[in-house]
Amino acid sequence: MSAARARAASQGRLAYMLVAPATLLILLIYILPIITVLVMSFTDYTLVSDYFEFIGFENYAKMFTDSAFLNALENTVIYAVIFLPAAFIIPLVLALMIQKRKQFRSILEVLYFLPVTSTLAAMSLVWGALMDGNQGALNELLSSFGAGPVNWLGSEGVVLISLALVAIWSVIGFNMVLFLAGLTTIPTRLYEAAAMDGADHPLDRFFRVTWPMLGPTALFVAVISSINAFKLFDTVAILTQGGPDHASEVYLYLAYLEGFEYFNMGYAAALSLFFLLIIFVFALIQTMFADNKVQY
Amino acid sequence: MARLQLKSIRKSFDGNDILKGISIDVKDGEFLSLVGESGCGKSTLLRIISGLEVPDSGEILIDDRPVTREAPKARNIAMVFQDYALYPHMTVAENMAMPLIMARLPLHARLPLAGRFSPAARRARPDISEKVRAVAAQLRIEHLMERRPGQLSGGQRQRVALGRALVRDPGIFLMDEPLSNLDAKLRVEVRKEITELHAASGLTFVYVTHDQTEAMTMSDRVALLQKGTLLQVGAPGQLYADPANIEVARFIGSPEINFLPVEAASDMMRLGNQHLPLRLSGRTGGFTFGLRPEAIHPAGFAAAPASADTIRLSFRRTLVEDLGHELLIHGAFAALPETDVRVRLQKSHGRPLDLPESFDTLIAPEDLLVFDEFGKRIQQKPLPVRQGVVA
Repeated sequence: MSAARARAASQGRLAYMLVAPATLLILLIYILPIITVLVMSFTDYTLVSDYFEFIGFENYAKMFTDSAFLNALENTVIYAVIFLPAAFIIPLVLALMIQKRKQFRSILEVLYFLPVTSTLAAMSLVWGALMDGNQGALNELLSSFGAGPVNWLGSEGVVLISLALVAIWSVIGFNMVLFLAGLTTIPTRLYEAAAMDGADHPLDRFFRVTWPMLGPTALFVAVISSINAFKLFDTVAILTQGGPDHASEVYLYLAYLEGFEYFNMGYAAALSLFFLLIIFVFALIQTMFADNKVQY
Repeated sequence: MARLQLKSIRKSFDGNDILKGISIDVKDGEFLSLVGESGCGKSTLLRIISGLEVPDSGEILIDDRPVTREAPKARNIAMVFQDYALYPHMTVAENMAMPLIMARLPLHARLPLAGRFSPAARRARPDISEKVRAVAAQLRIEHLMERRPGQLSGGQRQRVALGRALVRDPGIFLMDEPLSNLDAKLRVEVRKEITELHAASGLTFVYVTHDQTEAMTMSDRVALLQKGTLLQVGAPGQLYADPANIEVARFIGSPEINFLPVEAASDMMRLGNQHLPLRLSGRTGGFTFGLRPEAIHPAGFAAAPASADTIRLSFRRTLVEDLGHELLIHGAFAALPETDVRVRLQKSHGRPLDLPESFDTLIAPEDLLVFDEFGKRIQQKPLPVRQGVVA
């Protein structure tokens, strides 16, 4: 009996030893930095001073009175409102159209997916050239139609739309592939049953079969895209640096400015953690609905 | 209620001929089964009747109206799919209401949101739910109306699929192997229900199955398909007793019919190394006898066949399967030891039988089906050759 217990104990030790490396890595790479940021967010630590004090929730309290933060939050939400519908509907329509193609389907898939494979930071430079207010190709194109030049990146009212355009361009292929994957899981039998039931009009097919069956995919695309919208950073950093006049200063860019330009690491840490919370809420929505409501 | 005519239907996919000219006339109110092994084209034929596929050539008439190129909804038909194809995101009630919504509401009233405010929808809805309720009552699934297909058992799904097909009062009812996903016990039960449904509704049924028992028990007529051709259409009893060729004889009947190669001379026949006092009038050469397992009577264990000219063959058994009410005996005739033969022997009152290794069997010449070297049935029975007399 005791021999068996000893063997069980040694097996237990072995198990812990085997998971130790992975556990250590996770602690080191994920858990420890988060804890560090959490601790930092309760301090007034700056990069330029060795001394810091614990100031409790002061950083968090500051956020909601800080006009820069509220401006960044507002910009992010406006950007998301522009970006999300397009990033959802365009890929869905493309997926529905491409799905029926037999010959060119794979070519079209690759073409639309190309932007996803490129480095957005590098492509941002290209977009910067295209959107240049003076010699940009986009304005050349517009003027050939007789439309006036648009100050794509230099106008407060336009800059978020321009950034959304770049992001939509870069994300269409990815979301389209997700929708295509979702569409292939819908059994053709259902469309045949629908045809027998008289639902052979394209609108009936879409609203009675395709859309409800695409529910889980649609939710996933919506959540991923929302998270993407809130994570907007690299195009801002490269194309506008938050300008003109803070009009494109979005959440993560502000966090970056606070931390690495103004050296307010404590405040930047608080911003980052609050950001993490927002993302967490999105992820929570997805898992809740995906598990209970939309799946069959 | 409707009459269905198929006229030399042809269909090929990627150069493979799936259907090679099928013509069948299904009478109003008839229950016709399409039977055959997988790949024989029976499901394709059903899909062509339904309108989900268009034939390469040939014509389909429903009540004398050509519908070959019409959409499924214009044909006054309903179909039950093998996997039922219920809409997983709809409740049972919504599933069953679907055909009625499509038929009775205009497009704008069927769209989401806009449909809510449509007066046409508001007018039609009570009738639709009334009809759905009535059909559900008929199928005894009223208590399932608010469930989704995922929460139903196989038998319940089957009934919902039947219900969805029934609500629209179709003229022709198509079924694609509807019982194949049910367990054996439930299959017998639903088989009976479908037969009753057919009798009660008086609808024309076209039923696809690979299971000959299903086809034989349920149908008025059975159409046997093989590799895209129609081998024979007829009442179940006719296919069993009077098969048109060797393939029909082989497919119909379980356990399978026995085939015995024979050489016919003008005054006798040779089966292996034994001579039989039989002949065919005016024909000699190689033939095949088809002999049903129950037509071989072990002498002394079963009543001798009521025939004046029974032939006697010695039989050697290898394996006996006891099915309770009967024995299935595997073995071979001593004259032809390399050809496996199955014998069915009724047990009287379930008494155990003590069969010896070898025993004599009696066969009536009238029970022998004769096929020529191409497998085609010869519509004559072997004639007895009486001692020294050649008639």
